[in-house]
Amino acid sequence: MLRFIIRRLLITIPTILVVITLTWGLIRLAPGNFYSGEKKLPKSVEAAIREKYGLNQPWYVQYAKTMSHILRLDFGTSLKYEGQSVNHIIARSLPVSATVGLLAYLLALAVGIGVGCIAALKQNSFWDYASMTLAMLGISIPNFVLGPLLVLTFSLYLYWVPPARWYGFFNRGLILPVLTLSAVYMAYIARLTRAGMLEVLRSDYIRTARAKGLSEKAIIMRHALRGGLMPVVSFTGPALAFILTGTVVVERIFSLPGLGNYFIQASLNRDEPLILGIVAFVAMTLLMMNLLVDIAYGFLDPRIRY
Amino acid sequence: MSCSAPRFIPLAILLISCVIIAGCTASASNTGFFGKTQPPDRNVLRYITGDEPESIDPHKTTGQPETRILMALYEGLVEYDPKTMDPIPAIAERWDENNDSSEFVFHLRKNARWSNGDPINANDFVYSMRRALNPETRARGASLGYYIKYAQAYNSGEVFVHDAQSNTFLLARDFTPNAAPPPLSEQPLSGDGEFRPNAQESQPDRDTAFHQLMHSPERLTLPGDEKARNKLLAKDAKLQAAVAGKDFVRVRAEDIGVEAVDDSIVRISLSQSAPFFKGLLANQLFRLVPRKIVEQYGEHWTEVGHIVSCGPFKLQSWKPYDVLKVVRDPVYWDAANVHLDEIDFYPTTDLPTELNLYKVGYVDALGNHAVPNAWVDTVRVAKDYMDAPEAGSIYLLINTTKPPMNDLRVRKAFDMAIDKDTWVKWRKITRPLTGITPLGIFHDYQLPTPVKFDPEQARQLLGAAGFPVTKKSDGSYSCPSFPDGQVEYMYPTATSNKIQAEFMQAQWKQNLGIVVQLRAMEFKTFIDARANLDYKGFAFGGFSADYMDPFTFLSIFYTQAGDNSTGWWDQKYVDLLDEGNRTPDRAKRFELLAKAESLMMAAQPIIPLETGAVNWLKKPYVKGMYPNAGSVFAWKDVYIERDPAKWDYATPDMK
Amino acid sequence: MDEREDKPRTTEPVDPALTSLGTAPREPLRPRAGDIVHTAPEFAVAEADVRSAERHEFVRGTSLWRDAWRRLLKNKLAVVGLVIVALLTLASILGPPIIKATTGFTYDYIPREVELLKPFPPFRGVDGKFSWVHPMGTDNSGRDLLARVLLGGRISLMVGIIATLVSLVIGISYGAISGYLGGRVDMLMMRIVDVLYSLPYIILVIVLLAMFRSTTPVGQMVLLFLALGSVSWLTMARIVRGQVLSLKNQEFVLAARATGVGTPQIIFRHLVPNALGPVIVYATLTIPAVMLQEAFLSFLGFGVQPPYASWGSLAADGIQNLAIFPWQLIFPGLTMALMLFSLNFVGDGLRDALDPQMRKG
Repeated sequence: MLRFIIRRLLITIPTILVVITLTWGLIRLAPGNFYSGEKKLPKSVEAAIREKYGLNQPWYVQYAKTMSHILRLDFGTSLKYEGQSVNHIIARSLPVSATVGLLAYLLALAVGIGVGCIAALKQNSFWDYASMTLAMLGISIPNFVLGPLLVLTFSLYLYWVPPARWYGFFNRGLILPVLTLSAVYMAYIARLTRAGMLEVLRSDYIRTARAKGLSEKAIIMRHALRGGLMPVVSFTGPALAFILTGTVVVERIFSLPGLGNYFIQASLNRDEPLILGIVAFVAMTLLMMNLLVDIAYGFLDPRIRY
Repeated sequence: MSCSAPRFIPLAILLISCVIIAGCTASASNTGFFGKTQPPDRNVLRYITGDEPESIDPHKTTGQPETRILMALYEGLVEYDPKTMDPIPAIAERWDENNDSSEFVFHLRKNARWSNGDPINANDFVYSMRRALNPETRARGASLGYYIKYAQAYNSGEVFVHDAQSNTFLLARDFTPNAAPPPLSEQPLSGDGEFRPNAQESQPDRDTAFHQLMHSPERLTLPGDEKARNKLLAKDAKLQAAVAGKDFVRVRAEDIGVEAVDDSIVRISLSQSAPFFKGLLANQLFRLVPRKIVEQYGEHWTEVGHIVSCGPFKLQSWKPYDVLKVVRDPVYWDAANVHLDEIDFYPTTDLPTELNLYKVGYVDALGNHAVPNAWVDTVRVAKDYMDAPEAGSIYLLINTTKPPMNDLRVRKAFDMAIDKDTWVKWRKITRPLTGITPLGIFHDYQLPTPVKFDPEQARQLLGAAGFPVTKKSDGSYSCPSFPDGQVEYMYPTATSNKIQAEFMQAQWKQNLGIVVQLRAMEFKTFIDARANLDYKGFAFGGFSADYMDPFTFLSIFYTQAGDNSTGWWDQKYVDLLDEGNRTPDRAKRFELLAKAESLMMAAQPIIPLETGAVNWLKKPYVKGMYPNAGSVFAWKDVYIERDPAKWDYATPDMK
Repeated sequence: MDEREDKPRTTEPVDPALTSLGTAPREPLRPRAGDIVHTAPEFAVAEADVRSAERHEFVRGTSLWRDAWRRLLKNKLAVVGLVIVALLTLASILGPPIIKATTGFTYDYIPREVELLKPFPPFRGVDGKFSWVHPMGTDNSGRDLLARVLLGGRISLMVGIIATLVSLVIGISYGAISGYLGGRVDMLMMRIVDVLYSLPYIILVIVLLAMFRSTTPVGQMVLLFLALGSVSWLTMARIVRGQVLSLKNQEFVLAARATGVGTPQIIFRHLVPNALGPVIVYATLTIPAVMLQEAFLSFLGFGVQPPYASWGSLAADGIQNLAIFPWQLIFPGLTMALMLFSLNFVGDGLRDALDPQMRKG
């Protein structure tokens, strides 16, 4: 196990560097630059800007400088938000995205697993069909449609919750963003759980357990869930990473100051340090999550040997 | 997942139909207001002001969103009246102006204090003005202060020409042909009678050396940059000869025409007559900044913990792109009359979100132009919708230097070919515009007669100019001899501008048979191109008042540069305006200004389109905020009314 | 007792959780580290499908297309889905010309008359009276929403199909080559796929589209095809590789090799056609996923540019007026949901149909 972890960590670092390099290359290859719109800057101002940001040096020098800073985890200062360091911006916006994301996934897990189990147990009943319909709807309705619909109903008509903005960590302003975000994952998890549980419940060792006279509940809790949840576990890795790092659409809809929103703004503004910082952070999170999931997989499935 | 019985399709259909039905019935508010109307628990106003403020240093920004915040934090000698935006006393208790409005004396109140308790005196104002006009401060609105003597010279880094031997300076009047008579502020002191009959008894001490200096003829100033200066000298042999052998002395801060006569008296000397100057003083450029703090912390003086302010509120916290909070300042000289405990300023994200937040009750008032045009019909029936004329004009500038637009008849024809009434009707909230001064703002000012919509006459004029318009068999018109390629309409990219451009294009095509090409540009590029007269035909123009006087609009054509951008200029126009400014009688002055405006409109350098409108929303329990023409508010008058009987059930009375 | 094909019991333990079919695996199960497939959640393909495709257990199912078709038709949900998809596609293609012929509206037609330049609710005309002219209402500039939604359908479908095709082409080639060549080349190629897999692709796509904003709407769409297609090929490659790995030792391949058929021909003329089963399933499930991606990107402003509209950009416009003109969001949104809904059912049905060992669920 340990060797596996170390090997994975060793691969992770080059992967992140590749990601950062790719992104950097994309930004530099693109036509235009951050300080000009369509307007023509006076030559002196343009020269001063280029000097200040070292843009006159050959590209490999600039690349080396950027990478050396990044390796020291110094992503520099944002080009658009004056005076704010990228690390500071990420540190400030991460809790927002993380809160919404984590709550959304926990909700999705709770509801999805529960519904999926019930559906698997009561296969072909009304509950099965109803929950799988809802799951299908959840996957099919995009979150940028669902979110506003929820806002329309619960905020604009009923006045129960605010329609936008961030009000703090334990606040009813979180309800709609979390719901919107978790809907699609709820649906996937329900389907995955149902499929997984169906598999497991048909297997020999469950039949054995039943023959032994164990109660249905014990069967599920002790034997079936472990195997049945495998697909869910392996789904968790990338899902969490994508949720955490700002499902940009939800943050757009609800005007939340999270990583996703900052990332979109940075891309539109060509704010290179901020883009690189967020990309590096997201890549890191994703890879870590995958690693954690694989480790968890190892714990859950005793047959997997690393 | 194979399921043979599609039992849940009906379920899905049911859900979806509910949603559709809900969607088709738009919500109606039952109390007559737009959304929830419940006052907040605390005495806090939550206000969406506009874009995230670039800075809360009053000298650094000129935008309206910043202005509102700055008006909470800082005061100047005068403040805007909440309804009329005329100047009312703030740090100055009263003021005198001389007979041709070229010199002002302000008497400051003695109990004004900074938020850290220090008393405010006249030297603070002088320091603030010097800092505002300091070229190193790079104040964007510095040009508003150019009426002050030598302010422009100082701000542009110009130099005096000093003769070391005789210790004199070269004078401007010697080198300017046909110079206008100098204002009273530059003529030698006449003794008594210079100030208005109703001046207060405590006449300022006239014998300060500085005052003598101000009342001497204006000195000549030349560009500080050597290359520019040499270019100028090369053009004028007389000047060059006079300058030889003399020193160039930089204009210093101490040379500008603001003086602290004593601790509570400020005297301002202008370089021309400007009766509107006291209204101009409410602008944020003229608000006071604390000398000690600015000198101590430099760029960081506005940070929480450093900042010291002089307004009714002081800064509590600022989370960028989130919220900026100010709380009442107990040390403020009029703190007893400040009603709110706190104001939360939110930056705008996008209009629909703002309106949603307002509807659900998470925001108490919205900034100007909060209601998109498509929403107006639905929202304006709500009682909390404010709609009033704005001190802003929208018009088309014409490049009069290039044919065919250099022909007056062609310009008039294009003006007559637009049905502006239909446009204003579609816009729903704006009002017509007949000249450059907006309608409905200056009630005793005579606006020029409007150019009537007369397509037939327009076509005749075009024909007279050499571009006959022929009628085709299907009823439409065509003008084949008109050089289409020489005329286009240039505008900055924005949806509302595009719709306006398309309307113009359709009108001209329909009534004149001419297709004018449209060209959209990014805003800053557009401003540059327009300023350089780098456009063919028409360009979008819009202007908001800097102070409440028609001169702010008329001054657009005072020089060739800047917002003029038409290539039209007339000495007679300038003379009329100057004469108007020298006239103390308001009615006579307005007559002269109106005459100037009619003169300008007769030359048709612009096509007036519409007077802007302020439209925003505020909850009925917010009182003291009026839909004034500039959409800025003196926050100390604002309060939250908890008794529903006293709420505003319509636009508050502006009289 | 459930019907299960008789299989000889082996001494090795059956691993039910790893096979979707309950059949015994053909090799002893000793999963290697790093074999876990991390499918991005946006793709509806279940984890198990991909891995089982990798473990080449689907091979048996690709034999008889007609059988599969019959099974598909028996699946009522999939049939309903197919019908809806067909209807929507037809509407997208034929609808705009019909609308133009009857009422004269196109997706970008802005009326001349000033009273018409406003948003009308569905089935209402001027003065609020009932009218057939705008069944879905209009947007803020008076453009007919139905025409725009149908155009959105065209564009979304086009993006979905083309991007999927792009990913098919790249993925099949890559996976087939990797699987056939085997050995170290295979290892290297799959490692590359692993690395690419772990990239946060949506972020890179956004950066790509933000940086290379094309000046023409058509150019932007081409960029979209490429960007979206270049993301989904990874899983396709894995699936194809798995299939090829299992097929390459079959007799027909040996025979082809013996008769001197060149490698590329073996790969593309013999192996790939036989591996198509799971590829088709995956492709059918990729189309809605890609459409959803495009909708996201258009919603954020990076995708389809005006004057074209896609469901995503229509939804973005609709949200602007949610408080008082909600139909501008509801119709495009629900149409898109309907399409995705149906496509997902069809994909599910296809997967079940192509799998012969499917027990009645």
